[in-house]
Amino acid sequence: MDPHVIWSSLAGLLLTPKLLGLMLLAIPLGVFFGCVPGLGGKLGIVLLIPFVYGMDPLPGAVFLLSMHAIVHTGGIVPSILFGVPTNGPEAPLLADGYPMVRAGQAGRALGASLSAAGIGGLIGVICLALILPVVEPFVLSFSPIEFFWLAIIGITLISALAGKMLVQGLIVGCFGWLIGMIGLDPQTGVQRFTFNQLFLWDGFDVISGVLALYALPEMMQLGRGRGRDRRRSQDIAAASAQPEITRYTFAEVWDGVLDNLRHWPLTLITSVMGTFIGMIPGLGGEAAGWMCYAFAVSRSKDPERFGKGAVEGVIAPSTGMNAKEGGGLLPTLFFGVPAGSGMAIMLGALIMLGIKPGPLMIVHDLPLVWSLIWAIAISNLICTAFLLIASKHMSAIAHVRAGLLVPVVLVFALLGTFLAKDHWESLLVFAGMGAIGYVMRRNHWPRPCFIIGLVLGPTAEVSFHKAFALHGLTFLTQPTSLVMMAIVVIILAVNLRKTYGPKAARTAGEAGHVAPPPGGSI
Amino acid sequence: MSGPIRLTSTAALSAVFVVIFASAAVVAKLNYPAEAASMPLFIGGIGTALSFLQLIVELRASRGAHEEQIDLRKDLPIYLWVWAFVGAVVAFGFVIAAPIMLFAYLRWRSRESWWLSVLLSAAIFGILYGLFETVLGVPLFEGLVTPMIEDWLTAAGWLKS
Repeated sequence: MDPHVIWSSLAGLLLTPKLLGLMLLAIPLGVFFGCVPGLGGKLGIVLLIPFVYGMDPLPGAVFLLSMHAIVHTGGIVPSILFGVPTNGPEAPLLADGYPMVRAGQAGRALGASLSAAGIGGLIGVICLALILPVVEPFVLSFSPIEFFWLAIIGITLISALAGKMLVQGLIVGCFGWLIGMIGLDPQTGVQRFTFNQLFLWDGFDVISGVLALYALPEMMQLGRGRGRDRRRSQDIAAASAQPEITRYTFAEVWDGVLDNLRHWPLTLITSVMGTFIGMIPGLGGEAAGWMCYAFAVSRSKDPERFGKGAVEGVIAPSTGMNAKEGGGLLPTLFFGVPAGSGMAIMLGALIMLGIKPGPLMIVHDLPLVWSLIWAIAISNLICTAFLLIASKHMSAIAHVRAGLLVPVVLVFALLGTFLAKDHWESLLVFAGMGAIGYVMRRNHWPRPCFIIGLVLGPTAEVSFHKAFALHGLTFLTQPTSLVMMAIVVIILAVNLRKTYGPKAARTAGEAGHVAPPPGGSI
Repeated sequence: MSGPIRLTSTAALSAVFVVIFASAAVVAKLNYPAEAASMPLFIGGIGTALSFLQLIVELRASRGAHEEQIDLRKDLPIYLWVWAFVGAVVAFGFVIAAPIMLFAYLRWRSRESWWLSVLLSAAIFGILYGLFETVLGVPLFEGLVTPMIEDWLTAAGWLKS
C-alpha cells in the first residue's frame, strides 16, 4: 500500500476548504439527527441526499459519511441525560448511563461515554486501515462466480436481519429483488416491468425505495397522533423536569474521560469487537452495543454493579456502536454488500454520487477510500471534542417536537425522491410504496430486507449470467462455488436454529408468546 | 383460537404481495424472451408461494386477533395528509405547494402557533426557491397544473410572456 496515497488523502481533506467545510457542516447535522428522537443516521442520509445532488463523488461521500459516522455520538447525550434512547443502538447506554445520572454523576457518565465513542470510532478506522492491505489481493482475485455467491450470501443474511419474521423477511427481500429488475434487462436489452413508462427505463433507484420504505413510514408513525401528545417527547420532558440531576461540572466530565484510561483494556477490546461486528453483514449497531455490554459484564469481577451505574457499562456499548462504522465500510465498499441497513442506504447514496462500490475500488479509487477512512476518523475526533464541551446545550435539541419534524422531513423526502431520477412520476411511486411501507412498519415486517434484495438481487443476476456464459452450469460445481455454497447453508442453518430451535422456542414460551404479533384489522 | 376469519392489515399486505408476485411472473412469462424472463419467474414464483403461505398463516391468526385492531381514526388522517401533500406537489410543484402544505400541516394537524407555522413555511420556501433554484441552479418540478395556469393567465393578458 502506497503511503503517499494515505497521507495525501489526509492532506487533501484538511487542506481543501470545501471538504473541510463540508465535514464541519456534517458534524452538527449528525448530532442533530442523533439527538432528535425518531430521526437517526438512516433518515439523516436520505434527508441530506437533495443537498449532495450534483456534487462530485468525493465531497458528497465525505459529507454523508462524516454525518453518518457520528450520529450515535450525538444520540448519547439525550439517551444518558433523559434515559430515553433516541435510536435503537443507544439503548444499551440506558442500563448504566441513566442510573449514573440519577446518582448525581451525569458529567462523569457523559464524559466516559462520549470519549469512549470517539476512541471507538478511531480504533474502528485504524483496524480497517490495517486490514486493507490483507484484503487487497483477496478482493482482486474475485471472478463473476465469487460475486454471484457473495451476493447470494448477502441475500441469505436476510435470515439474520429478519429474526423471527423469516417468511416476512424473505417476502420483503424478494419484493426488493423484483423491484430491482425494473428497467432494461442487462442480458437481452428487453424492457422489464417498465409498462412503457420512460421514467422506469433506467430502473428503480435505491434512494427512492429507501425514502418510500423508511422515511415516509417513520414520519407517518410519528405523525399518527394529533397535536403535541407524543410519548417520547413526554418522556424527555418528564426527565428534564428534574434539572438538578442533569447539572454537572467540566471536572466531572474530565473524570469520565479518564475512566477510559482506567479501564483501557475494556475500551480497546470492545472497540476491536465493535469493528469486527460491523464487518459482519446483518448485525447492526444494536448488536454491537449489546454484545460489548455483555462482554463488559462477563469480564467484571463484581457484575452485580451493572445496571446500577457502573461506568464500564457506559464505556463498552459506546465504543462498540461507534467502532462498527469503520468495520461496516469494508464489505460495503469492496464487496458491494452492505453491512447493515444504514450502510445499505449509504451504498445507494454512493451509487447516486457516481461511486461504484466493488473490488475495483481498491485499484482505481484508493485515494477516495482513504479519504473516507480519514473522514470518519476526523469527524469522530471533532464531534467528541465538541460534545464534551457543549453537550449541556446540545441536550435541548432532543425537545424538538415530532409535529414540527413530520412535514419538514416529508418535504425533503419528496425532494430527494424527485432529484434522484428527475421524474415527477417517482413522487407517485413514493406515495404508493410508502403506504405499503407504513403497513409493514406497523406490523414490524423487516424493511431492511427490501434494500438487501434491491441492491444485491441485480448483482446476483448479472454475475450469474456472466459466470454461466464463461463456464456453463459447471460453475456451480467448482471448488469456490462449493465452499461458498457451504457458507450459505451454514448461515441459513445457524439463523434458522437461532430462530426456530429449542432454545428460541423456550425463550419465546417464557416470554408468553411464540408467534409475532398479528396485524390489526383494516 | 376461535371466531370468524377477519381481514387484518397483515393479511391484506400478504394478499397484496401475492398479487404483485403472481402478476410479475405472468407478465414475465407472457412478454419476455426466456433469458430475460428466467429470473422474474424464479423470484415471482418464490414470492407468490411465500406470500400465499403467509396469507394463510395470517388468516388463521386473525381469528384470535380481536385486541390487535389498528385504529382507523388514527391511521386514515395521516394517509390523507401524505397523499394530499404528494398530490399538491404533483399539481403545483415544490416551490408553491410545499410551503403551503407545510403551513397547513403545522397549523391544523400539529396545532402549532401561527408565527411558528409561518416562519417554518417561509424557511422552506427560502430553501427551495432561494437555495435550490437560485443559488444551486437545480430546477425543481413546477407541477402539472402550474404551467397550465401560467399559459391561461398569459393568454388572458394578466401575465407577461
